[in-house]
Amino acid sequence: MLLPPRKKKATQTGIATPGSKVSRDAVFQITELLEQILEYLSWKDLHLCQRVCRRFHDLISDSHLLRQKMTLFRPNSLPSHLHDEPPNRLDPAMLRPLATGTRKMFARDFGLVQGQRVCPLLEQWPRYFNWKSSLGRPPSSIPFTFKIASGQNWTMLGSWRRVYLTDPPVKTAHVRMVWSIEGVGALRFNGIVRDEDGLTFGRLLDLVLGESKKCWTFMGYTHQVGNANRNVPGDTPAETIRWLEGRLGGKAELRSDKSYVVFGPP
Amino acid sequence: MASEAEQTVKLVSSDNVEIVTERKVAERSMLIKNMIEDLGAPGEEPIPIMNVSEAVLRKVLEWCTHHKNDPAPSQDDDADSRKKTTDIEDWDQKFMQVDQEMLFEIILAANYMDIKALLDVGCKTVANMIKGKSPEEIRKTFNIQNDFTPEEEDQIRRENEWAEDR
Repeated sequence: MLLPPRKKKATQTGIATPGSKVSRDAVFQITELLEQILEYLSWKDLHLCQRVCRRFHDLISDSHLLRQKMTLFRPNSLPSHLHDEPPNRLDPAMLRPLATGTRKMFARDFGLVQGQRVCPLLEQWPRYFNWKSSLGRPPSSIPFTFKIASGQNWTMLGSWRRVYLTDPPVKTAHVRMVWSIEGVGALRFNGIVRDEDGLTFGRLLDLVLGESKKCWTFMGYTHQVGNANRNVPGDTPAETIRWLEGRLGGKAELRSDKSYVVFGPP
Repeated sequence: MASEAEQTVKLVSSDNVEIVTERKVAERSMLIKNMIEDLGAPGEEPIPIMNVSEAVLRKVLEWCTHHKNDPAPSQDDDADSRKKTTDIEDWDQKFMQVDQEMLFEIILAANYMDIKALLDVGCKTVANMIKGKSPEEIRKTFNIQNDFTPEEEDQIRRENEWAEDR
């Protein structure tokens, strides 16, 4: 039997045609092929791909190679407390050397070794990290705590938790936050976070969310009528901020120009 | 006997169409190359390419013809080409401007016929179609069904939302 010739669809690459379902499904079902396709994507695209469908999600989760690309982790350095999280690997290509000026500043202020590199998240995550490199200023700030005040919780499951802040990993970071209530006053916090295995974004966030009050020094708050008592309630910065918001009236906002993270020596 | 350069081979597509091509062109396919070596006497016995239809086979041979003089990739090149650059040379880019059905058929054929360089180009082309898109846009592009439950979707979204800031 002769079938009528199939109409050639003059579609450009990128448009799904009804007929393409079979071959496309066949390609996506072959693990090696789908993996090879996904291998060409950046870590950001891979994270988004996990949300497309089960097939993509499961394949990416099961692929050692792709997970390695996504978590930016260093090989052969899986700290014990991360054992229950998926394997971590750092792709050195994902890290950039610090800009010369920044590196000098780091070296001067914190004695960091030459060649220290900062995780690209710090630069590529502008909503949460402002990268400042002018001399005399702290190298980065962390306006990610906006979400604390607005009551939204950060998920503790995010794959970003396992990403080291720097390469090689540093053990200490100093964090300073200034929250201000417009026209009313400002609150200051100082904190140090330390992790012998190297600091990850997860640990940093634990500190900022105030997992333990021990890490923080409440530096007091100021308002229109001068310095106020340091004895304020709240076990975490978030609770303190909410208490003060209630007391002074107004909404506290993190001052990204005055809040920052400084990495200690490796 | 014809010199190796002038030798031809007969290929038979899955829909039973015989295609005669230069041996050098056909041997871009490791599958065919191995078969010729096993069978000996190339050109006499037709070689069945069971999983590939005529239209796709002709397209694949077009690629092989253009690339027939490419040097064979060394192991080092192999590791290097894995370095995730999605750059595609101009001719290949034009060659891949086909509808999605043909694109995926080419990938399947390249995989089956073991033509690594063509498989790379195909996979890069698909990767380029995914790059920079949101999950919903990716689904639309490939007509993929979202098979997560709303709860699962929400959970995965929360785990990965940090990657969305571009």
